[in-house]
Amino acid sequence: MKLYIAALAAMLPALAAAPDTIPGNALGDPKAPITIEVFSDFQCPGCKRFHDEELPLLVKDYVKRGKVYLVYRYFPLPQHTYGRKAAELACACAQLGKYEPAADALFAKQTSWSADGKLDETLAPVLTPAERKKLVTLVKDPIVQRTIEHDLAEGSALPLQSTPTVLVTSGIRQFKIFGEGLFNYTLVKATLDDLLK
Amino acid sequence: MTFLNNRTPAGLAASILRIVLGALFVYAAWMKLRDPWALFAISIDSYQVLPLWAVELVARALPWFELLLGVLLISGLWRSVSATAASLLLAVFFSLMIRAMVKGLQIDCGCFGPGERLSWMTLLRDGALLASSLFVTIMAVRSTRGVHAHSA
Repeated sequence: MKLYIAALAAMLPALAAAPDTIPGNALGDPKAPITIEVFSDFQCPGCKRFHDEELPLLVKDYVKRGKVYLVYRYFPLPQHTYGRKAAELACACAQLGKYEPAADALFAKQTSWSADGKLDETLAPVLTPAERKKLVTLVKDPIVQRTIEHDLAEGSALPLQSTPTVLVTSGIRQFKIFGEGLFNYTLVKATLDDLLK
Repeated sequence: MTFLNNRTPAGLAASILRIVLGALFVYAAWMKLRDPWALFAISIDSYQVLPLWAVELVARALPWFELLLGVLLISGLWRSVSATAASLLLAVFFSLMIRAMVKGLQIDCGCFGPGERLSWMTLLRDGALLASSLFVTIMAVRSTRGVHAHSA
């Protein structure tokens, strides 16, 4: 019994200190039976592939139907020169309620800004002039750094071995999916359907 | 049912390794069976070897086969057959892992359920298991031949 209490006490600070993401970084119903956290780096080609091919299907089949709560997690890899800056800008855009258009633009022109670093120009078409002005201030907001650091810490604690990695939580069960198999939507769908039974 | 053959040091080592291998097979099976089958199918599919229908078949059947193999290895029933099957299975796993490493695939190894990235450490572990299994197989076959020779 003492052991249980000690274990519970040890867990409490972790539970209390587990901040969720800022509202713009999530999609769907937070009460959905399954939560999917997508750990992604805007400069990683695999993440682009996941964003372009898999994510729209997941959103259509599960998020929009209230079965999955989708959380975008920032995991810029150190070897990617502009990965962190892209994450900061996307996080700032999320505060404007524009995460999705920003992510779409960043992934669509990944090759281009990965070479020249022109991230502001990449995001310009999806923001109004007023939003662009706000973005300059928002990107300096400490919450942006805190959110990214939180996501990096959460990913490292998993531990996360590559991007993109998807963390599926269904009740007390949690699975990490990564690698080539992640791109087989038929199997990802079968896993989610099994969990929803 | 024969748990341990401790007549010789090699026989004792083979018996201990057989039980350890059996326990590992049971553990590997349990880790897969407790999760949705498709999750293991995702790991198998990562190796890019089988068509989808075969991936599904293997994902559904392999954990049960591993469980059966584990129970047989622990119990000592059909020792030669179970040890040979374990060696063949581990040899297949080992070859697929080497192939994936050579191809530079960054994948989930799927060894003990999802979540473990295939690495040189995984290869080292599987290689050690394969070597142990081959030793158990040789000892089991020798012992069976010995029994047959005595009874002849």
